[in-house]
Amino acid sequence: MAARAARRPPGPLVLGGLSVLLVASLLFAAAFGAVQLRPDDLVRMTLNHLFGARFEPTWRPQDEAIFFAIRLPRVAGAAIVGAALASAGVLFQGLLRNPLADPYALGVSGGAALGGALGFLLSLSFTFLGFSPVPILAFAGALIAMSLVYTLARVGGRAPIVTLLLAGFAVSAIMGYAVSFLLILNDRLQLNLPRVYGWLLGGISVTQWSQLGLALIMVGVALGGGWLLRHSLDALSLGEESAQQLGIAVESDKRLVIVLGSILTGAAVALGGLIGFVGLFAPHVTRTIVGPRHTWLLPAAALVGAAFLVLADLLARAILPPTEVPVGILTAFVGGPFFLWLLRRERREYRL
Amino acid sequence: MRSSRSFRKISPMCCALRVARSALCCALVALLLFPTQAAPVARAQPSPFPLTLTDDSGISATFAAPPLRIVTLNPGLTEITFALGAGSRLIAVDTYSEFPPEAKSVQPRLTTYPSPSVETIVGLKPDVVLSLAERDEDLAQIRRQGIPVLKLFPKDFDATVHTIQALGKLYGASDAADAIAADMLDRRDAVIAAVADAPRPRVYEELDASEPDKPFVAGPKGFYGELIDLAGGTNIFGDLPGDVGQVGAETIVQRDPEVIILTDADLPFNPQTPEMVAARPGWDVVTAVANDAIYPVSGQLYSTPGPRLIQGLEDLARLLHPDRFNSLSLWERAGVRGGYEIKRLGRYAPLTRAARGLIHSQRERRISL
Amino acid sequence: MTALELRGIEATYPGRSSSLKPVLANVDLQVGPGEMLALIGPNGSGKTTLLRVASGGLQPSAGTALLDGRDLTALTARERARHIAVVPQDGPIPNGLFVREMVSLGRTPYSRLLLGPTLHDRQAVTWALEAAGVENLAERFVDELSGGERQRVILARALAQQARVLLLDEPTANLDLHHQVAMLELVRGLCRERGLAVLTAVHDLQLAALFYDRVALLSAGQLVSQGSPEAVLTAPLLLEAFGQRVVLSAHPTHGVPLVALVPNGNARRLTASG
Repeated sequence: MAARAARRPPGPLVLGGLSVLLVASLLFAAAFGAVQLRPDDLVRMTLNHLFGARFEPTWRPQDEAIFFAIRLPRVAGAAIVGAALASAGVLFQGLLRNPLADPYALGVSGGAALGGALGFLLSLSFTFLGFSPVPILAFAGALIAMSLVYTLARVGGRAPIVTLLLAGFAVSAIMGYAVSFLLILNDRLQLNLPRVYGWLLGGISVTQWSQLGLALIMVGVALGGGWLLRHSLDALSLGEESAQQLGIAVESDKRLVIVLGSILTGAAVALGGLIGFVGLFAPHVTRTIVGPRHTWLLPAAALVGAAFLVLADLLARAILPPTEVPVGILTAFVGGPFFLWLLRRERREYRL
Repeated sequence: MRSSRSFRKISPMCCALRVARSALCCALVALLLFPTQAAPVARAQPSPFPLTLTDDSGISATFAAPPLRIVTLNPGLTEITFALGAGSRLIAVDTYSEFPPEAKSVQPRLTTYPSPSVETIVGLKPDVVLSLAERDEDLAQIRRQGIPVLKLFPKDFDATVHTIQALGKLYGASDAADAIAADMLDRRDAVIAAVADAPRPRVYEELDASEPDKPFVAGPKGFYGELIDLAGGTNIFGDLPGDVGQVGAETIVQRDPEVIILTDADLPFNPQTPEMVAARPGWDVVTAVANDAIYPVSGQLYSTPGPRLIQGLEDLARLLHPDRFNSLSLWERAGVRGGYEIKRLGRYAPLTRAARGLIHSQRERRISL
Repeated sequence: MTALELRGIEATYPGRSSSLKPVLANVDLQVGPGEMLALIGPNGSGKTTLLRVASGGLQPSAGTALLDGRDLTALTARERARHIAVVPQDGPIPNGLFVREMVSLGRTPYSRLLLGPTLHDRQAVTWALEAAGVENLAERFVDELSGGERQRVILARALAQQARVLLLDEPTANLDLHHQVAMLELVRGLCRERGLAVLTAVHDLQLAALFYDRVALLSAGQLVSQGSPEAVLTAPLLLEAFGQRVVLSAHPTHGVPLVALVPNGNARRLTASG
């Protein structure tokens, strides 16, 4: 057999390169949008704002409001959601040893949809740190669904992988159809049908910086926790029995991974609805660059996911002005062909 | 019964307007007596019955006599039926038909989502079924049972008037229909005339702000857009392809509307108030926000294809050009907004007759001064 | 002092009906440092279960498993993994993993929470690669190796754990003749050099005879016999346990039993296997 001794680029170099890519995407996405703003204006605006410089405004007050209060939070939100979805994808693919696993695998898509639909239905009027009821209930729905799946799959203290997958699929399906049922039962919800489905298609919805603060903390903590579990995740890829023989406390680490994954997915859903594809696609792409070891895979995938979603969101905002296209459509259109190309290029039989 | 409301100015112009109005009404009545190509809905025959009507989907139905058992599947069609005095002939309506208040007590109430129960409708043995948006396959099934179905979906003001007249012919209430039509067209023309030479403010009409950073807004087509145009405003989203679109907040702020109309003020979900809109990040630089020109309204008036459409137009025109409609006092302005009693459950109480009468009498007093 | 001792082990699987006999009943076993013990027995006799108990992965329903005199179940998985290494028969191999990375997974029981591998970790990996004879494959992808090479890589991973007890589950099952012998020679060499206690589940009786100091015969969960190959590999015992006739003689070059299979001559009749 021919020796394929391909070398891999060193981890820190990849992380550095991806960070630069992310920063470039953020700048690019901040500079463009449905509204044309001149880049030199933006630079002067930013210097005024951040460093107290005193440039004379060559722009309208609307432009400044658009840039700082509307566009920047949106771009930052896209980065956070992308990072959260990609990391959750890595965690679930590692946990479930299944290349088709994504952040929504364990019942989350149904749970979040049901929570969101209830949020639309109950027309409550509280806000928490800038989050309206729909994202909060979606977040709660995601977590509840995931713990339901784990409880259902648990037999005698252990939760076998295949059972988790099947239970996740079933719970998601049941909850998803419950949403449709709710729509039939409730008149008022039917009036809001396009909005409900639009939200389900996914779209970054950030209005307050406080939302970003909370989300950033949650995603940061969960991502950090996931990274601390990197050895467990590596060992789990050899099978649960081998992982245990290598010293991993398999059941408790599995539980931790599920909790962290659900926090990441919940935060992503609260900020952006059910954005698909990023959580599936970013881990696979990153794996071809840095390999399957989670030490590098987890942070790199987060960077890839963030950059990808920032650019997809830019397209969502700017491709059909002034209409806003749901970003879930674009993640599929942009990521899909690239992913297919990647699969063909690899040509090895694909095993996770 | 022609309404006695009119927008009179303190000027000799009012006489000229009166003459013009009468002439217009005569012309309209003449137009109605002679069918034209622009009225696909009403193709009348020399004697009213037997009557063949072609609905908006191109399918004809023949009626030997005015229908006595009517089923409507849309609130607008229900309203028209009541306005033409045929409300007592309704044997079933859809669950959303709540105006006029008598409509709420019509039983049974049919669900139309995701599709109506063909069995139930057929079982009611109606003489005619009126639909706006149901699927053609479902309606075809009803027709196959020998029940005529009229699918009427007027897309603009004129089409709405034609629909009212067609139904008037069908119900044998042509006089009432013509009166309503004349009134609507008359008042519409009055509005157009009143705002003809006024500067057209930039208008942003919001339909749903469940996600405040990308709300659903009114485009140029459909009732929302047409009313803005007729009322003398410029829709800042006149470049959208359809009648509704979802747009980013960036673009709204950039296009800097001078007036904001909140038709989502009485939605059951995420109803918006002017305070909420003013508090949206980045919106404080918008002219409408700075001038406190954010008006919550009842969306139903602006979009239901029925006789109240003219009321929506008049109210919108008054909001956009208060100076052209006898500068209202602060009290009256509050009355226009508050009189709608925006309630969270989607019900609203239109200006009561008394309040309307009061405003009218105030106006009368002003004119006589 | 015995490195690994199993006393009175009775084991069953959770969810298994209690009316069935337990998978293992009253098994006593010991392996000392520098010693190789082979577990033989027909399918379903409980070999793999016994190995699971020995690695601490399965808790026995009765009896104790001791490592250097300490109860296995009292240790954490991490501690156990530093003392006991397992070479499984097969298992999932992640895609795109280098051999060197696979072997360094053997250092998991020593991994640090925040920092990366130490110099000692890297040295252990290098040593393990050399000891298993796969150092020239270090930069290859694991999923591109042949069966024999892959098996040695898994062995290297177990060696990287630097444990004193080595458990192997049918290590030669998928190997060709040459590699079967090479593998066991390797293991025996390491056993002697490093003083490892090696417990192996073996299918092939001849290999058991050639390479192992002691043999234990399991049948239906019971330990039928334990001792030197000559003592255990006798025709009556093997007929009783496997339901197969064999003839034993002396190996021509090595002083161990030579196992010769004797077909039963029942070409047409299918017998129920014992």
